[in-house]
Amino acid sequence: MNCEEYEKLLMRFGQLTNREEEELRAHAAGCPACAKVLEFIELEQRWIKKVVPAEPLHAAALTRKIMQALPAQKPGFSFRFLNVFRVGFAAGTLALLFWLGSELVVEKNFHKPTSSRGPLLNSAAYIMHPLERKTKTISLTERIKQKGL
Amino acid sequence: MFLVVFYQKTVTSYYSRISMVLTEPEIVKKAASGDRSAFRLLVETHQRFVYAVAVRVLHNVHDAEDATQETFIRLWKNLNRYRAEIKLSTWLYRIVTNICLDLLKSAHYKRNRMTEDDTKAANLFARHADEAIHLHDLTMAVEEAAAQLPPVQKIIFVLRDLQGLSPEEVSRIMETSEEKIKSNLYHARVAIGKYLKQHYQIQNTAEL
Repeated sequence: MNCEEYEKLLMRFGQLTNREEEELRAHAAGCPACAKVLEFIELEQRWIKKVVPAEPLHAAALTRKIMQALPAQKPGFSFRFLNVFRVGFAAGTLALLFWLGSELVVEKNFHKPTSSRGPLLNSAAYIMHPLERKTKTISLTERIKQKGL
Repeated sequence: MFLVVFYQKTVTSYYSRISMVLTEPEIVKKAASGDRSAFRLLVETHQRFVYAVAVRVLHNVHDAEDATQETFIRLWKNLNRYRAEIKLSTWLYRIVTNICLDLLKSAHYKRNRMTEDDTKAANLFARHADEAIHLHDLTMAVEEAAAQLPPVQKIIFVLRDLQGLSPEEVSRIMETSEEKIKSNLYHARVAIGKYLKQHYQIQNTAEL
């Protein structure tokens, strides 16, 4: 066996059969590189056996903290279905605002003197008496009727 | 006062009753239906190893407590998806390792992780003040050596060598092949051994 194959044995160190371990040690006796790796692994294995187990300082307090932080909803509860309504509601509101805004702009322009509507409408045929112009307003409902909506 | 004592007695007897009568999958089922007392029992049973993994990986008591809390919150949210064929402990190990990995990989954590070493040392082993001082030192040395490892190697080392899980179990938790687990563990062990050898003038290793 070569060093690469012994490396596979080193990867399983701690789970080797007696025969495998003997083989590994025999190889390490004549191979400084593998001997070094074996030394490091053995050292690590000896030290970790003495490691003090880690435990929470105040287990009861930690339990309380966890229980207090739990969401009020039952497991599996999701707000996803509410998101659909939320997006729909937002889109509807935006559409309504846009429609109202556009209607207000149209209505505002309707009350303006003809000169402000642009050069094309500023001809003599469209110029009316100021008093007549004031009364010449068409309400939104009338306009809708005219359009046949 | 009487009411408090009565409440405590009732709750305690309820816990002991359900823990004695019901198996773990049944307790999980109860908790999944929204029973907080059953869930509390699961927290009490499993929080120690969840915390142990978190503190070993993160090297910080406060972060470990936060990670433990987050683990159980995620468990609560997903309890309805629990399948009895997977051990609850495996599931919890998976959640806590994912939380720790995310935290270790985050830039913020990398920047600040070395600032609270002193509080960590004081708190982690306060319970074991009566033990021989060299055990404390040995543990600290291993912690220090493990802190140098890349995140994945560190988690595999903690699960396999400190928590004592089998390679199969670690591969299930990490959702990777056993070969990769063995390879990562091998590199972690060599790195830790090397670090210990370099930083601690070990004279009588056989006595350890």
